[in-house]
Amino acid sequence: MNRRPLPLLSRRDRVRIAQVVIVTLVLVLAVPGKSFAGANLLSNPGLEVVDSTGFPVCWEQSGWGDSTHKYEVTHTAPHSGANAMKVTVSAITSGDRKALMLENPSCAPNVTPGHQYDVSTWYKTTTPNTVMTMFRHDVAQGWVYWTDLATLTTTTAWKQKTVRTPPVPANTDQIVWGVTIYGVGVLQTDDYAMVDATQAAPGTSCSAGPACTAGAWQVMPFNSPVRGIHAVVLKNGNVLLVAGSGNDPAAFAAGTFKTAVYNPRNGTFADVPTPADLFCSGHVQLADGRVLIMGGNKDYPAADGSHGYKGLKDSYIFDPDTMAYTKVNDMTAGSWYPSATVLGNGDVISLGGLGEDSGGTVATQYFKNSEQRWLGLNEANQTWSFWGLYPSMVLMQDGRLFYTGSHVFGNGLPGTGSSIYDYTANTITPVTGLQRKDERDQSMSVLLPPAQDQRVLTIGGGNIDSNPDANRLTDLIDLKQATPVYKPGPLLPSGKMTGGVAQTAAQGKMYVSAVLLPDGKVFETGGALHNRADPVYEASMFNPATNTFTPGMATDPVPRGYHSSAFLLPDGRVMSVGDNPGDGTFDMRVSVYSPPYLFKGGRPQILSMAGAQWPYGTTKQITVDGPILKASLIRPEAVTHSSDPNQRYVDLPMTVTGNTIGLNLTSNPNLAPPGWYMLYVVGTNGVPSVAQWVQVK
Amino acid sequence: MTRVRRSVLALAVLGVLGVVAAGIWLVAAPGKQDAAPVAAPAPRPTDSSWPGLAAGPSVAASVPPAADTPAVPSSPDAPAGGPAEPVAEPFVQNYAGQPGVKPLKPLPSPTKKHYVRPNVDGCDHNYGEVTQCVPWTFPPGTTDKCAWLAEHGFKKLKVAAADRQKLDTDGNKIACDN
Repeated sequence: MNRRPLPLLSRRDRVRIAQVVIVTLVLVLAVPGKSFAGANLLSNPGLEVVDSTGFPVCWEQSGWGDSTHKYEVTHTAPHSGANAMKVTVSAITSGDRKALMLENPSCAPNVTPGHQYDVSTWYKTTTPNTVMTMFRHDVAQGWVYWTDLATLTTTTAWKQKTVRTPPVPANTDQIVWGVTIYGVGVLQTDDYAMVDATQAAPGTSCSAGPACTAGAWQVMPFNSPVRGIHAVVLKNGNVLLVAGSGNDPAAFAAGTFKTAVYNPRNGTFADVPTPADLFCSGHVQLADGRVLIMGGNKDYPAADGSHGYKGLKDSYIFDPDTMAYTKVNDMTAGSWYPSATVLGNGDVISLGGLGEDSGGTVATQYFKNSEQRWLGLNEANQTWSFWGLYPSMVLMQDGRLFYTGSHVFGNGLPGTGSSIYDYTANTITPVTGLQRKDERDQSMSVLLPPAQDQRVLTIGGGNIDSNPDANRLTDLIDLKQATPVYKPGPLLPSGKMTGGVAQTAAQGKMYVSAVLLPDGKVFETGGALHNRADPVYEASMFNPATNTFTPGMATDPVPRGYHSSAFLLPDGRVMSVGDNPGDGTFDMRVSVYSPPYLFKGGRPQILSMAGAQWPYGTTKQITVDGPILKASLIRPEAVTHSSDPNQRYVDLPMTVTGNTIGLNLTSNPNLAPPGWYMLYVVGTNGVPSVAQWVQVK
Repeated sequence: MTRVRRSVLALAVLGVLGVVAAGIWLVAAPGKQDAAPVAAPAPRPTDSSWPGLAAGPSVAASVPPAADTPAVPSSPDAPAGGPAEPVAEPFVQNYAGQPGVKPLKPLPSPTKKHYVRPNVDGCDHNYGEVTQCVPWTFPPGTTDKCAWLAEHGFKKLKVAAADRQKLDTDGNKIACDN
């Protein structure tokens, strides 16, 4: 009998095989397996391959200044392999040293603009005077400095430091980096790595119509109880609105001086007794978050021209905790429209303004924070120069002040119209290139994000004396250059006049407000065409990464000319107040702008923070609820007359471990003067968090 | 089950598992050419200098912020006790030295007032209240100053001092009223 041959696999066998396959698949796919990190983009990252001189291939000795130093490839206890880099600085009076990746097409890692990279190294150092320094290859400019990422803590055992770069700027095709040592000590490094860490953006669908790209304004259903000529965002998120007499001689004559504190979370105002006419004062937040007010209005001008405005010498400190002013000693001279710039040591310099006799104040006035007093005339360095009214003096990374040329009233200063002022050396050196320096009255200058990039943008302006049409000019300057020179920037987008009449091609605006946003862009809004007349309805977004304006942002329906201001709120919106046209009226309406980023999706959440006190050169840990694109500290505004030279956005390079982020704060107080800052993180969908407050000290 | 069948079965299972494993490896393990992803890579190794990280980062629970103070919980940043970490000195770049640019000549201590003209605000205070601002210079193209003033909200504009701009043609100390 012929038996039918048995199949090699019976039905039961086939079922068993299927079960094994399914179980295997389930196990393999369901259980997290090995994570596959991105490729290390560096050549010779372990320093193991050396050239004929014994130095690692694709690496070079770099640095500048006066130091006694030595580079060596050490074989003693490297982190891995046979080699590590050792840089010894035995004496140093200036400059730094670093082992840097070679700036050539073969060795420098290629990068993609917009991408972020996790860069890491293992290290030992006997000095904390170290920093991870980045350079980038710009397709137009060649190799240029990019940014500093993080300070390394001292350690005698190998440690790893990983930091995520900001998004690579446009026009960049390669980067190099290394660890800089700028103090006496020994730095060893080994096993460098660089991995593309670009996060996938979740869906960014927006259903808000035009607001998706233009943002949206809302005029509040209540008015400000005071003329908000001076606006200061306080460390608790409230807004100090100072009117003093509010450009109202009747109030001045009656001794009626006003201040209110606005709470943007519930739309309420609290009156604050105001001890003097603080109209026309200067103001800046001190290191502890209190507000130093300097000068003010001693008198209005006489109709017959016998005298002009007169400045007070009075100075007060407003405390957000007690909601009260406290007097400090008088300034050395009257100050009507003075500048106020906080320095890296927490002191404040005030320049310009009008004195008690209506003359120009030529004294340099210096508030010593540690003594809580204005220094006497002979205690401060003096150049006896008149800096004009509300001169925009921006603190540079080395402690000098850059006079941007932005000012209030009339012509710019004689000469080139901008300069660098060195208080310590007591020198003023001209800076060239500012276009039409006599038509930059009530333009606005901002230190562009990030502060580490040391670039300034000056926007628009006019001249209340000659009263031409305000202009569309912008000027950009890179203060990293050996000899910084202003260069023309893109023209300000054109807007519309009252009634919807389009501006001509040459018309721009003065009374400009420029607000740094947590996404690293600059929102520009408000303005008018002539002296206290003819509001311009135009708003745009400036992108420092591309040096371009995106026109067509939503415009504030309220005219915002003379005595108007706009400033960032901790929730990421922009608030706008004030307008004081020539007929003497004052618009008390309050407007709030929601930028497009608020319509793009959910906001990232800062879940925890390693305390609110942030020392320089440290890494502070936060936890968040999802992927983060970047983090920053933004100094709260203290603005009047289109002038807030202290406004700045400080990048916080990130060390990323999932949702735990180390934020690396610069060691340089001139980049982030001491004080309270708004900490923002931006999700990969481009949406910023609500700010948390941290004190940099 | 015969020995042959057991062998075949074992081979078949191993074969299938091999194919599955290879497929999964191909899908999940991108080669170097694929390593410039748009998607996020796995979390990177962290800064090993962070205290307490060896035990894993502790993610504080989300606490609903108070209505008026949206503060977040504080997470530990440094171990208690122990020697203080040395602090880095400020790292300052050698920028903007302006080689060859001469500083302005220092000025002597002033012996007289630095004159600033009274109408520093560009307003002609001969007219109206001090808070008002008749332009010292009218905008370009203005041919009829009174019409311009009317368009800009000026009403019953008094002549407070001299009629510098000839706006009071009837001399009644009210500008532009005829």
